[in-house]
Amino acid sequence: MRRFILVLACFFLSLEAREWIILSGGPAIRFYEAGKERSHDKHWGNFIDSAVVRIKELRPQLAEGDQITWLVYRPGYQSRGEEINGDLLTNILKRANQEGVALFWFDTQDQLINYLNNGKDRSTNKIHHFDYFGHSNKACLLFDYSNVMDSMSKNYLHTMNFKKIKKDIFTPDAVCQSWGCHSGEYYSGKWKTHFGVPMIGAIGKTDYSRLHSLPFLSSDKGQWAQ
Amino acid sequence: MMLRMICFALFFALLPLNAVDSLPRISDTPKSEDQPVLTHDPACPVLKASEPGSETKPMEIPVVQTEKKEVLPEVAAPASAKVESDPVTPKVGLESVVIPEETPHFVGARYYEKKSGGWGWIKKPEESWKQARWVAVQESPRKFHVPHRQLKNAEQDHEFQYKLLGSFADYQIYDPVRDELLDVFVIAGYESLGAQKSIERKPGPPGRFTSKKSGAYTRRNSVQFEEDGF
Repeated sequence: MRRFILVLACFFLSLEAREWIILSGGPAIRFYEAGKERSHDKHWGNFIDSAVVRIKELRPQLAEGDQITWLVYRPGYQSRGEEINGDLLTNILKRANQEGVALFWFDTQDQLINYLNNGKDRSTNKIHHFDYFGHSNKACLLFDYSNVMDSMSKNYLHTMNFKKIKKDIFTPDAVCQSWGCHSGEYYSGKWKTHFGVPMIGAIGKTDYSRLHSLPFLSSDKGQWAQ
Repeated sequence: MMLRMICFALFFALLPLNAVDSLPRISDTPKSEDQPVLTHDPACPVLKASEPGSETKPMEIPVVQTEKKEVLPEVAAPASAKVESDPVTPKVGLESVVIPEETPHFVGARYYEKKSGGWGWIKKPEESWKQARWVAVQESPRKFHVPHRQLKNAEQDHEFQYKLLGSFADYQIYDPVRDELLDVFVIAGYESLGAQKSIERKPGPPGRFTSKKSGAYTRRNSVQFEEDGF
């Protein structure tokens, strides 16, 4: 009987799926950025292209039952699309379909936090991998930047918002990385303190300008930290 | 032996259930009404926010739409480099106009502050400057812009005052350079009152002087975000 229970326990443990989350923030609109000395987001798809590159990289690492979920900040692509008269949302949907990943839009910080907390039953389906592509400073992931207002952000995830996210949503060996600028200078530490898992982040800036490639460190003394 | 056979039987009986029910994929189709799928384009579900008091209860998350659909013309990046041509700089939709006193309006005092997204103070005409709010101004591209968009530099109208049309927004905006939240005024027109004498107030939102800092930015130890460092 004891062996039977053991076998069953092993069997049900093996059923636990893990979620791999790719999070894409939105681009600036050119109205606010054109003409600036350091002009951001000349290409609308920096945070989409790099996310797709990452999805391709990660797919071979998925175990049976794992799922990649792609969360995209919709308002950023709506307004940039209106500016350039293009349907960026459909473009992103097409990319998700091509990669065969589940795509979810989010419009607010609350929606994102709700997904992280409750999007799956986190007692059996924890987040094993988390990648963020978008603007950031050392204290904040900025889902929009220079999109609603010049050089400002309306939707973001600040370290002070961590208290709204459950602490046990990640697997103990989860791999998290922010590909935005400056995350390794402050955000990563607060992330580890709250969630108990490290987050790789950049000290200095990152650059998304290489085609078909992940962002790279672009500051003189830039490095990845966690 | 019997025990093993039972285990194998259970394993193979349960495996397909798991594969279907707990692993929604792009190729799945919605199976029932309790898995809503949005019908508008593009066909991908929008996440829901938590309802008050429901934080511990898992929310129903719809599966992603599955059917392949005709995709509208794609806006692709240029093959040579990830650069788009900037849109032609739009003409200012509403330049300085005369706002009659009887028209409901606000009064704004511009204060240029380097490394800040703040615009200045705004108050009702009958209020004192002590009651004014430090704000960021939200523009409507191609319609209503802040006055300094017509100037060479943003600091050129420092300490100018304006009659302003518009309203305060019901949300705050985050200034990533200063790591602070600002009230928002949505501008819908202005009349310049020219350069005026200084407002005797320190620039910045109340939180700059009273709130506990996140720790990422403090004036005391001069740890600052790099300007334009995103």
